[in-house]
Amino acid sequence: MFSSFMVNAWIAGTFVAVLGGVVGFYVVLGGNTFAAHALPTSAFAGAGAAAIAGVDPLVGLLAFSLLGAVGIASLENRASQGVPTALITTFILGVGSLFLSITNSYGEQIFAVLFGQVLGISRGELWAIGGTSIVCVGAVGLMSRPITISVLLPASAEAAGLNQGRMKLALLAAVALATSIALPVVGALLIFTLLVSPAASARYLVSSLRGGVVASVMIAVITVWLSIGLAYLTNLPVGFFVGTFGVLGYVGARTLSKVTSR
Amino acid sequence: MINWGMAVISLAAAQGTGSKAVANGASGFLFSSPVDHALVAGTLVAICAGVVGTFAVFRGQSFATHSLSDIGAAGGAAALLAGVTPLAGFASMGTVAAIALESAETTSAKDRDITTGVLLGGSFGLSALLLYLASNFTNVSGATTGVLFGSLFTVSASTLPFLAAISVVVVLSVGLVARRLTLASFDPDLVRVKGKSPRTAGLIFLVALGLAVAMASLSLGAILSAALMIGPAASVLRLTSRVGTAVLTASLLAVAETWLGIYLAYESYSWPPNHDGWPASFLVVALVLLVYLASRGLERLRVLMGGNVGLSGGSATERGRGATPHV
Repeated sequence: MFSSFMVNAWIAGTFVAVLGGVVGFYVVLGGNTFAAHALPTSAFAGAGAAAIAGVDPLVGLLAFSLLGAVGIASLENRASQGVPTALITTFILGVGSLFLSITNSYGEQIFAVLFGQVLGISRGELWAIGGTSIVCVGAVGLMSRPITISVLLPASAEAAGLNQGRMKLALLAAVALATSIALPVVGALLIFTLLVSPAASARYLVSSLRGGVVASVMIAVITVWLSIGLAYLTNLPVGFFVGTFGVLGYVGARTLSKVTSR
Repeated sequence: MINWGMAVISLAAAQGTGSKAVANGASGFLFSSPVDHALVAGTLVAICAGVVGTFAVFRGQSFATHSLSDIGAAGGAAALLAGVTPLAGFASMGTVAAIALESAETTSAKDRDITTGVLLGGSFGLSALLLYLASNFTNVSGATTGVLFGSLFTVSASTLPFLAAISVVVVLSVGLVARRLTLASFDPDLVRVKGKSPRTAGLIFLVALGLAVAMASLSLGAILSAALMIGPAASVLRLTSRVGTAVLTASLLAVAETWLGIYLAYESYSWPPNHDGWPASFLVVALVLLVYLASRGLERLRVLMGGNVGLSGGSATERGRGATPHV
Protein backbone atom coordinates (compact mmCIF):
# COMPACT_ATOMS: atom_id res chain seq x y z
CA MET A 1 0.00 0.00 0.00
CA PHE A 2 2.99 2.31 0.50
CA SER A 3 5.09 1.14 -2.43
CA SER A 4 6.86 3.72 -4.57
CA PHE A 5 4.06 4.39 -7.07
CA MET A 6 1.52 4.70 -4.25
CA VAL A 7 3.63 7.34 -2.48
CA ASN A 8 2.81 9.87 -5.20
CA ALA A 9 -0.89 9.13 -4.74
CA TRP A 10 -0.73 9.67 -0.97
CA ILE A 11 1.18 12.96 -1.30
CA ALA A 12 -1.04 14.30 -4.10
CA GLY A 13 -4.18 13.24 -2.23
CA THR A 14 -3.03 15.05 0.90
CA PHE A 15 -2.29 18.30 -0.98
CA VAL A 16 -5.67 18.15 -2.69
CA ALA A 17 -7.47 17.46 0.59
CA VAL A 18 -5.82 20.39 2.40
CA LEU A 19 -6.64 22.71 -0.49
CA GLY A 20 -10.22 21.41 -0.75
CA GLY A 21 -10.75 21.84 2.98
CA VAL A 22 -9.52 25.47 3.01
CA VAL A 23 -11.21 26.71 -0.19
CA GLY A 24 -14.35 24.67 0.53
CA PHE A 25 -14.75 26.36 3.91
CA TYR A 26 -15.18 29.77 2.28
CA VAL A 27 -17.38 28.28 -0.45
CA VAL A 28 -19.79 26.87 2.13
CA LEU A 29 -19.59 30.02 4.26
CA GLY A 30 -20.72 32.12 1.30
CA GLY A 31 -23.30 29.61 0.08
CA ASN A 32 -21.53 29.25 -3.28
CA THR A 33 -22.26 25.52 -3.44
CA PHE A 34 -23.67 25.62 -6.93
CA ALA A 35 -20.68 27.50 -8.33
CA ALA A 36 -18.37 24.95 -6.69
CA HIS A 37 -20.19 22.29 -8.68
CA ALA A 38 -20.16 24.31 -11.89
CA LEU A 39 -16.42 25.06 -12.11
CA PRO A 40 -15.10 21.48 -11.94
CA THR A 41 -17.55 20.49 -14.64
CA SER A 42 -16.30 23.39 -16.77
CA ALA A 43 -12.79 22.10 -16.30
CA PHE A 44 -13.95 18.80 -17.76
CA ALA A 45 -14.32 20.43 -21.19
CA GLY A 46 -10.85 21.93 -20.74
CA ALA A 47 -9.29 18.47 -20.66
CA GLY A 48 -10.87 17.77 -24.06
CA ALA A 49 -9.77 21.12 -25.48
CA ALA A 50 -6.19 20.52 -24.35
CA ALA A 51 -6.20 17.12 -26.04
CA ILE A 52 -7.36 18.71 -29.31
CA ALA A 53 -4.86 21.57 -29.12
CA GLY A 54 -2.10 19.17 -28.09
CA VAL A 55 -1.08 21.15 -24.99
CA ASP A 56 -0.65 20.08 -21.36
CA PRO A 57 -4.03 19.07 -19.84
CA LEU A 58 -3.41 21.37 -16.85
CA VAL A 59 -3.45 24.40 -19.20
CA GLY A 60 -6.84 23.37 -20.59
CA LEU A 61 -8.27 22.72 -17.12
CA LEU A 62 -7.09 26.10 -15.84
CA ALA A 63 -8.32 28.02 -18.88
CA PHE A 64 -11.81 26.51 -18.86
CA SER A 65 -12.41 26.65 -15.12
CA LEU A 66 -11.28 30.30 -15.01
CA LEU A 67 -13.54 31.00 -18.01
CA GLY A 68 -16.42 29.42 -16.09
CA ALA A 69 -15.58 31.55 -13.01
CA VAL A 70 -15.66 34.77 -15.05
CA GLY A 71 -18.89 33.74 -16.82
CA ILE A 72 -20.69 32.89 -13.58
CA ALA A 73 -19.45 35.97 -11.72
CA SER A 74 -20.58 38.27 -14.52
CA LEU A 75 -24.00 36.75 -15.31
CA GLU A 76 -25.17 35.74 -11.82
CA ASN A 77 -26.94 38.26 -9.59
CA ARG A 78 -29.31 38.11 -6.64
CA ALA A 79 -32.46 37.83 -8.76
CA SER A 80 -31.24 35.17 -11.16
CA GLN A 81 -31.10 32.41 -8.51
CA GLY A 82 -28.61 30.07 -10.12
CA VAL A 83 -30.18 29.94 -13.58
CA PRO A 84 -27.08 31.28 -15.40
CA THR A 85 -24.83 28.92 -13.42
CA ALA A 86 -26.99 25.93 -14.39
CA LEU A 87 -27.06 26.86 -18.07
CA ILE A 88 -23.36 27.71 -18.34
CA THR A 89 -22.44 24.44 -16.60
CA THR A 90 -24.56 22.25 -18.83
CA PHE A 91 -23.40 24.13 -21.93
CA ILE A 92 -19.72 23.65 -21.09
CA LEU A 93 -20.39 19.98 -20.30
CA GLY A 94 -22.04 19.75 -23.71
CA VAL A 95 -18.95 21.32 -25.29
CA GLY A 96 -16.95 18.68 -23.42
CA SER A 97 -19.05 15.90 -24.94
CA LEU A 98 -18.53 17.50 -28.38
CA PHE A 99 -14.74 17.52 -27.86
CA LEU A 100 -14.97 13.89 -26.77
CA SER A 101 -16.75 12.95 -29.95
CA ILE A 102 -14.10 14.77 -32.04
CA THR A 103 -11.02 13.27 -30.35
CA ASN A 104 -11.44 9.55 -30.19
CA SER A 105 -8.16 9.07 -28.31
CA TYR A 106 -9.39 11.26 -25.47
CA GLY A 107 -12.67 9.33 -25.23
CA GLU A 108 -10.87 6.51 -23.48
CA GLN A 109 -10.13 8.69 -20.48
CA ILE A 110 -13.63 10.00 -19.85
CA PHE A 111 -14.28 7.91 -16.74
CA ALA A 112 -10.93 8.92 -15.24
CA VAL A 113 -11.54 12.60 -15.97
CA LEU A 114 -15.00 12.55 -14.38
CA PHE A 115 -14.33 10.23 -11.46
CA GLY A 116 -10.59 10.47 -10.89
CA GLN A 117 -7.52 8.30 -11.23
CA VAL A 118 -5.42 8.71 -8.15
CA LEU A 119 -2.84 6.16 -9.22
CA GLY A 120 -1.73 7.79 -12.45
CA ILE A 121 0.17 10.68 -10.88
CA SER A 122 3.73 11.27 -12.05
CA ARG A 123 6.56 12.99 -10.18
CA GLY A 124 6.23 16.05 -12.45
CA GLU A 125 2.52 16.39 -11.77
CA LEU A 126 3.25 16.11 -8.07
CA TRP A 127 5.43 19.24 -8.22
CA ALA A 128 2.67 21.11 -10.06
CA ILE A 129 0.03 19.96 -7.55
CA GLY A 130 2.19 20.84 -4.54
CA GLY A 131 3.24 24.25 -5.85
CA THR A 132 -0.27 25.31 -6.87
CA SER A 133 -1.73 24.10 -3.56
CA ILE A 134 0.70 26.19 -1.54
CA VAL A 135 0.13 29.29 -3.69
CA CYS A 136 -3.64 28.83 -3.56
CA VAL A 137 -3.84 28.24 0.21
CA GLY A 138 -1.55 31.23 0.74
CA ALA A 139 -3.72 33.47 -1.44
CA VAL A 140 -6.90 32.40 0.34
CA GLY A 141 -5.15 32.96 3.68
CA LEU A 142 -4.23 36.51 2.69
CA MET A 143 -7.77 37.20 1.47
CA SER A 144 -9.53 35.46 4.34
CA ARG A 145 -10.48 38.68 6.16
CA PRO A 146 -12.06 40.54 3.23
CA ILE A 147 -13.74 37.32 1.99
CA THR A 148 -15.25 36.62 5.41
CA ILE A 149 -16.51 40.18 5.78
CA SER A 150 -18.01 40.34 2.31
CA VAL A 151 -19.71 36.97 2.84
CA LEU A 152 -21.07 37.50 6.35
CA LEU A 153 -21.62 41.26 6.45
CA PRO A 154 -22.28 42.40 2.88
CA ALA A 155 -23.46 45.85 3.97
CA SER A 156 -20.36 46.72 6.01
CA ALA A 157 -18.15 45.29 3.28
CA GLU A 158 -19.55 47.80 0.84
CA ALA A 159 -19.14 50.58 3.40
CA ALA A 160 -15.49 49.55 3.84
CA GLY A 161 -14.99 49.90 0.11
CA LEU A 162 -14.82 46.19 -0.78
CA ASN A 163 -16.11 45.41 -4.23
CA GLN A 164 -18.55 42.50 -3.80
CA GLY A 165 -18.35 41.37 -7.41
CA ARG A 166 -14.56 41.33 -7.28
CA MET A 167 -14.53 39.37 -3.99
CA LYS A 168 -16.86 36.76 -5.48
CA LEU A 169 -14.64 36.54 -8.56
CA ALA A 170 -11.56 36.07 -6.34
CA LEU A 171 -13.23 33.24 -4.44
CA LEU A 172 -14.41 31.59 -7.66
CA ALA A 173 -10.89 31.92 -9.11
CA ALA A 174 -9.55 30.08 -6.04
CA VAL A 175 -12.13 27.33 -6.64
CA ALA A 176 -11.09 27.20 -10.30
CA LEU A 177 -7.42 26.83 -9.34
CA ALA A 178 -8.21 24.15 -6.76
CA THR A 179 -10.31 22.37 -9.36
CA SER A 180 -7.58 22.28 -11.98
CA ILE A 181 -5.04 20.61 -9.76
CA ALA A 182 -7.46 18.30 -7.96
CA LEU A 183 -9.10 17.01 -11.14
CA PRO A 184 -6.44 14.42 -12.02
CA VAL A 185 -6.75 12.99 -8.49
CA VAL A 186 -10.46 12.83 -7.67
CA GLY A 187 -12.08 13.70 -11.00
CA ALA A 188 -14.32 16.55 -12.11
CA LEU A 189 -17.48 15.42 -10.33
CA LEU A 190 -15.95 14.52 -6.97
CA ILE A 191 -13.88 17.69 -6.46
CA PHE A 192 -17.22 19.18 -5.58
CA THR A 193 -17.72 16.57 -2.83
CA LEU A 194 -14.31 17.36 -1.40
CA LEU A 195 -15.05 21.11 -1.43
CA VAL A 196 -18.51 20.95 0.12
CA SER A 197 -18.88 17.94 2.41
CA PRO A 198 -15.94 18.41 4.84
CA ALA A 199 -16.67 22.14 5.19
CA ALA A 200 -20.41 21.54 5.67
CA SER A 201 -19.65 18.96 8.39
CA ALA A 202 -17.12 21.28 10.07
CA ARG A 203 -19.81 23.96 10.39
CA TYR A 204 -21.77 21.67 12.69
CA LEU A 205 -18.77 20.79 14.85
CA VAL A 206 -16.89 24.08 15.33
CA SER A 207 -18.33 27.55 15.59
CA SER A 208 -15.20 29.72 15.32
CA LEU A 209 -13.88 30.69 11.91
CA ARG A 210 -10.29 29.57 12.40
CA GLY A 211 -11.39 26.35 14.09
CA GLY A 212 -13.81 25.75 11.22
CA VAL A 213 -11.03 25.93 8.63
CA VAL A 214 -8.84 23.56 10.65
CA ALA A 215 -11.70 21.08 11.20
CA SER A 216 -12.65 21.23 7.55
CA VAL A 217 -9.07 20.47 6.47
CA MET A 218 -8.79 17.61 8.97
CA ILE A 219 -12.03 16.00 7.82
CA ALA A 220 -10.98 16.37 4.16
CA VAL A 221 -7.55 14.80 4.81
CA ILE A 222 -9.02 11.87 6.75
CA THR A 223 -11.65 11.33 4.02
CA VAL A 224 -9.00 11.24 1.28
CA TRP A 225 -6.61 8.97 3.20
CA LEU A 226 -9.34 6.48 4.04
CA SER A 227 -10.61 6.60 0.45
CA ILE A 228 -7.21 5.97 -1.15
CA GLY A 229 -6.50 3.14 1.28
CA LEU A 230 -9.86 1.46 0.73
CA ALA A 231 -9.70 1.95 -3.05
CA TYR A 232 -6.32 0.21 -3.01
CA LEU A 233 -7.60 -2.69 -0.88
CA THR A 234 -10.92 -3.23 -2.67
CA ASN A 235 -10.04 -2.26 -6.27
CA LEU A 236 -13.15 -0.05 -6.38
CA PRO A 237 -13.10 3.56 -7.69
CA VAL A 238 -11.65 6.06 -5.19
CA GLY A 239 -14.54 8.45 -5.94
CA PHE A 240 -17.05 6.04 -4.48
CA PHE A 241 -15.35 6.21 -1.08
CA VAL A 242 -14.88 10.00 -1.20
CA GLY A 243 -18.60 10.44 -1.90
CA THR A 244 -19.75 7.96 0.73
CA PHE A 245 -17.52 9.36 3.49
CA GLY A 246 -18.68 12.85 2.55
CA VAL A 247 -22.32 12.02 3.20
CA LEU A 248 -21.59 9.88 6.28
CA GLY A 249 -19.44 12.63 7.81
CA TYR A 250 -22.12 15.24 7.21
CA VAL A 251 -24.94 13.13 8.65
CA GLY A 252 -22.70 12.23 11.60
CA ALA A 253 -21.78 15.87 12.29
CA ARG A 254 -25.42 17.00 12.08
CA THR A 255 -26.57 14.27 14.45
CA LEU A 256 -23.72 14.99 16.87
CA SER A 257 -24.52 18.71 17.00
CA LYS A 258 -28.22 17.94 17.54
CA VAL A 259 -27.46 15.54 20.40
CA THR A 260 -24.99 17.85 22.14
CA SER A 261 -27.22 20.93 21.82
CA ARG A 262 -30.03 19.21 23.68
CA MET B 1 -4.88 -2.93 -9.42
CA ILE B 2 -7.69 -0.81 -10.66
CA ASN B 3 -7.74 -1.18 -14.37
CA TRP B 4 -9.22 2.05 -15.65
CA GLY B 5 -8.67 1.04 -19.24
CA MET B 6 -11.24 -1.72 -18.74
CA ALA B 7 -13.62 0.61 -16.99
CA VAL B 8 -13.74 3.00 -19.85
CA ILE B 9 -15.69 2.48 -22.99
CA SER B 10 -14.51 4.54 -25.88
CA LEU B 11 -16.94 7.21 -26.90
CA ALA B 12 -16.04 6.47 -30.48
CA ALA B 13 -17.91 3.14 -30.19
CA ALA B 14 -21.02 4.77 -28.77
CA GLN B 15 -20.93 7.46 -31.42
CA GLY B 16 -20.37 4.88 -34.12
CA THR B 17 -23.51 2.87 -33.27
CA GLY B 18 -25.51 6.08 -33.15
CA SER B 19 -24.34 7.21 -36.54
CA LYS B 20 -24.93 3.80 -38.12
CA ALA B 21 -28.44 3.66 -36.70
CA VAL B 22 -29.20 6.99 -38.29
CA ALA B 23 -27.40 6.30 -41.55
CA ASN B 24 -29.16 2.97 -42.13
CA GLY B 25 -32.64 4.40 -42.07
CA ALA B 26 -31.69 7.68 -43.55
CA SER B 27 -33.38 8.24 -46.84
CA GLY B 28 -34.59 11.57 -45.50
CA PHE B 29 -34.94 13.43 -42.23
CA LEU B 30 -38.55 12.44 -41.49
CA PHE B 31 -38.33 8.93 -42.96
CA SER B 32 -35.66 7.63 -40.62
CA SER B 33 -37.05 5.67 -37.70
CA PRO B 34 -34.38 6.73 -35.14
CA VAL B 35 -35.21 10.32 -36.06
CA ASP B 36 -38.96 9.67 -35.70
CA HIS B 37 -38.47 8.11 -32.26
CA ALA B 38 -36.16 10.96 -31.29
CA LEU B 39 -38.76 13.53 -32.36
CA VAL B 40 -41.60 11.84 -30.43
CA ALA B 41 -39.49 11.29 -27.29
CA GLY B 42 -37.98 14.77 -27.56
CA THR B 43 -41.42 16.38 -27.81
CA LEU B 44 -42.80 14.55 -24.74
CA VAL B 45 -39.69 15.41 -22.73
CA ALA B 46 -39.79 19.06 -23.83
CA ILE B 47 -43.45 19.55 -22.89
CA CYS B 48 -42.85 18.19 -19.38
CA ALA B 49 -39.64 20.22 -19.08
CA GLY B 50 -41.48 23.42 -19.95
CA VAL B 51 -44.36 22.79 -17.54
CA VAL B 52 -42.26 21.66 -14.57
CA GLY B 53 -39.34 23.99 -15.35
CA THR B 54 -41.51 27.12 -15.10
CA PHE B 55 -42.44 26.36 -11.50
CA ALA B 56 -38.92 25.16 -10.66
CA VAL B 57 -37.42 28.45 -11.87
CA PHE B 58 -39.77 30.81 -10.11
CA ARG B 59 -39.52 28.77 -6.93
CA GLY B 60 -35.73 29.26 -7.11
CA GLN B 61 -35.03 25.53 -7.42
CA SER B 62 -32.54 25.54 -10.28
CA PHE B 63 -29.83 23.97 -8.12
CA ALA B 64 -32.31 21.27 -6.97
CA THR B 65 -33.25 20.59 -10.59
CA HIS B 66 -29.63 20.32 -11.62
CA SER B 67 -28.87 18.08 -8.63
CA LEU B 68 -31.81 15.75 -9.28
CA SER B 69 -30.55 15.23 -12.82
CA ASP B 70 -27.02 14.46 -11.65
CA ILE B 71 -28.25 12.18 -8.86
CA GLY B 72 -30.33 10.35 -11.48
CA ALA B 73 -27.07 9.23 -13.11
CA ALA B 74 -26.60 6.74 -10.26
CA GLY B 75 -30.08 5.34 -11.02
CA GLY B 76 -29.32 5.06 -14.72
CA ALA B 77 -26.11 3.17 -13.96
CA ALA B 78 -27.95 0.87 -11.52
CA ALA B 79 -30.52 0.09 -14.22
CA LEU B 80 -27.76 -0.85 -16.67
CA LEU B 81 -26.27 -3.14 -14.04
CA ALA B 82 -29.67 -4.74 -13.36
CA GLY B 83 -30.39 -5.07 -17.07
CA VAL B 84 -33.59 -3.00 -17.05
CA THR B 85 -34.36 0.13 -19.08
CA PRO B 86 -32.40 3.20 -17.88
CA LEU B 87 -35.70 5.11 -17.67
CA ALA B 88 -36.74 2.92 -14.70
CA GLY B 89 -33.47 3.73 -12.93
CA PHE B 90 -33.62 7.47 -13.64
CA ALA B 91 -37.27 7.65 -12.54
CA SER B 92 -36.92 5.71 -9.27
CA MET B 93 -33.69 7.47 -8.29
CA GLY B 94 -35.26 10.84 -9.17
CA THR B 95 -38.31 10.16 -6.99
CA VAL B 96 -36.28 8.91 -4.02
CA ALA B 97 -33.89 11.88 -4.24
CA ALA B 98 -36.80 14.33 -4.50
CA ILE B 99 -38.37 12.93 -1.33
CA ALA B 100 -35.01 12.98 0.47
CA LEU B 101 -34.41 16.62 -0.51
CA GLU B 102 -37.87 17.74 0.57
CA SER B 103 -37.76 15.89 3.91
CA ALA B 104 -34.33 17.21 4.93
CA GLU B 105 -34.96 19.87 7.55
CA THR B 106 -33.42 23.10 6.35
CA THR B 107 -33.68 26.56 7.81
CA SER B 108 -32.57 28.82 4.95
CA ALA B 109 -31.98 28.79 1.21
CA LYS B 110 -28.21 28.62 1.86
CA ASP B 111 -28.66 25.67 4.21
CA ARG B 112 -30.88 23.96 1.63
CA ASP B 113 -28.22 24.40 -1.05
CA ILE B 114 -25.52 22.92 1.19
CA THR B 115 -27.64 19.87 2.09
CA THR B 116 -28.48 19.41 -1.59
CA GLY B 117 -24.77 19.70 -2.36
CA VAL B 118 -23.75 17.03 0.16
CA LEU B 119 -26.41 14.61 -1.18
CA LEU B 120 -25.27 15.38 -4.73
CA GLY B 121 -21.66 14.71 -3.76
CA GLY B 122 -22.61 11.36 -2.27
CA SER B 123 -24.53 10.39 -5.37
CA PHE B 124 -21.46 11.09 -7.57
CA GLY B 125 -19.62 8.52 -5.48
CA LEU B 126 -22.42 6.03 -6.04
CA SER B 127 -22.39 6.77 -9.78
CA ALA B 128 -18.64 6.17 -9.88
CA LEU B 129 -19.11 2.75 -8.27
CA LEU B 130 -22.11 1.69 -10.36
CA LEU B 131 -20.65 2.87 -13.68
CA TYR B 132 -17.41 1.08 -12.86
CA LEU B 133 -19.30 -2.13 -12.09
CA ALA B 134 -21.58 -1.76 -15.14
CA SER B 135 -18.54 -1.30 -17.39
CA ASN B 136 -16.63 -4.23 -15.94
CA PHE B 137 -19.29 -6.84 -15.26
CA THR B 138 -21.87 -6.37 -18.01
CA ASN B 139 -21.32 -6.23 -21.74
CA VAL B 140 -23.23 -2.99 -22.18
CA SER B 141 -21.10 -0.75 -24.35
CA GLY B 142 -20.80 2.98 -23.78
CA ALA B 143 -22.17 2.82 -20.22
CA THR B 144 -20.47 5.98 -18.96
CA THR B 145 -21.16 8.18 -21.95
CA GLY B 146 -24.65 6.78 -22.51
CA VAL B 147 -25.81 7.46 -18.97
CA LEU B 148 -24.11 10.83 -18.58
CA PHE B 149 -24.54 12.36 -22.03
CA GLY B 150 -27.45 10.36 -23.45
CA SER B 151 -28.46 10.05 -27.05
CA LEU B 152 -31.85 10.90 -28.47
CA PHE B 153 -31.15 8.68 -31.46
CA THR B 154 -30.93 5.55 -29.33
CA VAL B 155 -34.40 5.89 -27.72
CA SER B 156 -36.19 2.65 -28.61
CA ALA B 157 -39.81 2.35 -29.74
CA SER B 158 -40.69 0.25 -26.67
CA THR B 159 -39.70 3.12 -24.35
CA LEU B 160 -42.12 5.59 -25.98
CA PRO B 161 -45.33 4.36 -24.22
CA PHE B 162 -43.57 4.65 -20.82
CA LEU B 163 -42.43 8.16 -21.68
CA ALA B 164 -46.00 9.08 -22.64
CA ALA B 165 -47.43 7.62 -19.42
CA ILE B 166 -44.91 9.48 -17.23
CA SER B 167 -45.60 12.72 -19.13
CA VAL B 168 -49.32 12.42 -18.32
CA VAL B 169 -48.55 11.83 -14.63
CA VAL B 170 -46.15 14.77 -14.51
CA VAL B 171 -48.44 17.26 -16.26
CA LEU B 172 -51.51 16.18 -14.22
CA SER B 173 -49.75 16.38 -10.86
CA VAL B 174 -48.30 19.79 -11.63
CA GLY B 175 -51.77 20.93 -12.76
CA LEU B 176 -53.17 19.67 -9.45
CA VAL B 177 -50.84 21.78 -7.31
CA ALA B 178 -50.20 24.68 -9.71
CA ARG B 179 -52.42 27.18 -7.94
CA ARG B 180 -51.06 26.31 -4.48
CA LEU B 181 -47.46 26.38 -5.75
CA THR B 182 -47.91 29.82 -7.24
CA LEU B 183 -49.47 31.15 -4.06
CA ALA B 184 -46.92 29.44 -1.83
CA SER B 185 -44.02 30.94 -3.78
CA PHE B 186 -45.26 34.45 -3.15
CA ASP B 187 -47.03 34.07 0.18
CA PRO B 188 -46.74 30.75 2.09
CA ASP B 189 -48.87 32.14 4.94
CA LEU B 190 -51.84 32.65 2.64
CA VAL B 191 -51.82 28.94 1.78
CA ARG B 192 -51.68 28.03 5.48
CA VAL B 193 -54.60 30.36 6.20
CA LYS B 194 -56.62 28.48 3.62
CA GLY B 195 -55.98 25.32 5.65
CA LYS B 196 -53.65 23.67 3.16
CA SER B 197 -50.05 22.66 3.69
CA PRO B 198 -47.54 24.31 1.34
CA ARG B 199 -45.24 21.42 2.16
CA THR B 200 -47.48 18.74 0.59
CA ALA B 201 -47.69 20.79 -2.60
CA GLY B 202 -43.92 21.19 -2.50
CA LEU B 203 -43.42 17.43 -2.14
CA ILE B 204 -45.84 16.55 -4.98
CA PHE B 205 -44.06 19.11 -7.15
CA LEU B 206 -40.59 17.84 -6.32
CA VAL B 207 -41.61 14.27 -7.23
CA ALA B 208 -43.01 15.58 -10.55
CA LEU B 209 -39.69 17.38 -11.00
CA GLY B 210 -37.81 14.15 -10.32
CA LEU B 211 -39.87 12.30 -12.94
CA ALA B 212 -39.53 15.07 -15.54
CA VAL B 213 -35.77 15.17 -14.97
CA ALA B 214 -35.67 11.38 -15.39
CA MET B 215 -37.36 11.67 -18.80
CA ALA B 216 -34.97 14.41 -19.84
CA SER B 217 -32.01 12.32 -18.63
CA LEU B 218 -32.98 9.56 -21.03
CA SER B 219 -32.89 11.88 -24.01
CA LEU B 220 -30.19 14.44 -23.14
CA GLY B 221 -28.17 12.41 -20.64
CA ALA B 222 -28.16 12.77 -16.87
CA ILE B 223 -25.74 15.66 -16.54
CA LEU B 224 -27.15 17.76 -19.40
CA SER B 225 -30.89 17.36 -18.79
CA ALA B 226 -31.21 20.26 -16.33
CA ALA B 227 -30.57 22.71 -19.18
CA LEU B 228 -33.85 21.87 -20.90
CA MET B 229 -35.75 22.10 -17.61
CA ILE B 230 -34.34 25.47 -16.58
CA GLY B 231 -33.39 27.26 -19.80
CA PRO B 232 -36.68 27.68 -21.71
CA ALA B 233 -38.60 28.45 -18.50
CA ALA B 234 -36.04 31.03 -17.36
CA SER B 235 -36.02 32.65 -20.81
CA VAL B 236 -39.81 32.94 -20.86
CA LEU B 237 -40.16 34.11 -17.25
CA ARG B 238 -37.94 37.10 -18.06
CA LEU B 239 -40.46 38.29 -20.60
CA THR B 240 -43.91 37.44 -19.23
CA SER B 241 -45.47 37.89 -15.81
CA ARG B 242 -48.41 35.49 -16.27
CA VAL B 243 -47.76 31.97 -14.99
CA GLY B 244 -50.23 30.35 -17.41
CA THR B 245 -48.67 32.05 -20.43
CA ALA B 246 -45.22 31.18 -19.14
CA VAL B 247 -46.04 27.45 -18.83
CA LEU B 248 -47.44 27.34 -22.36
CA THR B 249 -44.66 29.33 -24.04
CA ALA B 250 -41.91 27.57 -22.08
CA SER B 251 -43.23 24.21 -23.33
CA LEU B 252 -43.45 25.46 -26.91
CA LEU B 253 -39.95 26.94 -26.69
CA ALA B 254 -38.54 23.70 -25.25
CA VAL B 255 -40.20 21.70 -28.07
CA ALA B 256 -38.82 24.10 -30.70
CA GLU B 257 -35.30 23.95 -29.22
CA THR B 258 -35.44 20.14 -29.13
CA TRP B 259 -36.67 19.84 -32.72
CA LEU B 260 -34.07 22.25 -34.03
CA GLY B 261 -31.39 20.38 -32.05
CA ILE B 262 -32.45 17.04 -33.55
CA TYR B 263 -32.55 18.53 -37.04
CA LEU B 264 -29.07 20.03 -36.64
CA ALA B 265 -27.75 16.73 -35.23
CA TYR B 266 -29.10 14.98 -38.32
CA GLU B 267 -27.56 17.58 -40.60
CA SER B 268 -24.27 17.44 -38.69
CA TYR B 269 -23.35 14.12 -40.33
CA SER B 270 -22.09 16.26 -43.19
CA TRP B 271 -20.25 18.73 -40.90
CA PRO B 272 -16.50 18.89 -40.21
CA PRO B 273 -14.25 17.67 -38.74
CA ASN B 274 -15.09 13.96 -38.88
CA HIS B 275 -18.43 13.77 -40.70
CA ASP B 276 -19.77 11.40 -38.05
CA GLY B 277 -22.25 13.73 -36.42
CA TRP B 278 -22.20 16.17 -33.54
CA PRO B 279 -23.88 15.05 -30.28
CA ALA B 280 -27.59 15.98 -30.33
CA SER B 281 -27.43 16.71 -26.57
CA PHE B 282 -24.74 19.34 -27.13
CA LEU B 283 -26.71 21.04 -29.91
CA VAL B 284 -29.90 21.23 -27.81
CA VAL B 285 -28.01 22.59 -24.78
CA ALA B 286 -26.22 25.18 -26.94
CA LEU B 287 -29.55 26.38 -28.39
CA VAL B 288 -31.01 26.61 -24.88
CA LEU B 289 -28.14 28.83 -23.69
CA LEU B 290 -28.34 31.06 -26.81
CA VAL B 291 -32.08 31.62 -26.36
CA TYR B 292 -31.59 32.40 -22.66
CA LEU B 293 -28.87 34.97 -23.39
CA ALA B 294 -31.10 36.50 -26.09
CA SER B 295 -33.99 36.77 -23.63
CA ARG B 296 -31.73 38.58 -21.16
CA GLY B 297 -30.81 41.04 -23.90
CA LEU B 298 -34.46 41.49 -24.86
CA GLU B 299 -35.43 42.09 -21.24
CA ARG B 300 -32.76 44.73 -20.82
CA LEU B 301 -34.03 46.44 -23.95
CA ARG B 302 -37.57 46.42 -22.55
CA VAL B 303 -36.46 47.86 -19.21
CA LEU B 304 -34.58 50.61 -21.05
CA MET B 305 -37.76 51.43 -22.95
CA GLY B 306 -39.73 51.52 -19.70
CA GLY B 307 -41.80 48.38 -20.20
CA ASN B 308 -42.75 45.60 -17.79
CA VAL B 309 -40.37 42.82 -16.85
CA GLY B 310 -41.14 39.16 -16.25
CA LEU B 311 -41.41 37.14 -13.05
CA SER B 312 -37.79 36.14 -12.74
CA GLY B 313 -36.08 39.19 -14.17
CA GLY B 314 -34.96 42.47 -12.71
CA SER B 315 -34.62 43.44 -9.10
CA ALA B 316 -37.20 42.87 -6.39
CA THR B 317 -38.46 46.45 -6.63
CA GLU B 318 -38.85 46.22 -10.38
CA ARG B 319 -40.77 43.01 -9.86
CA GLY B 320 -43.08 44.58 -7.31
CA ARG B 321 -43.80 47.50 -9.60
CA GLY B 322 -44.05 45.60 -12.82
CA ALA B 323 -45.93 42.42 -12.22
CA THR B 324 -48.19 40.33 -10.06
CA PRO B 325 -48.97 36.71 -10.83
CA HIS B 326 -52.27 36.08 -12.60
CA VAL B 327 -53.21 32.42 -12.25
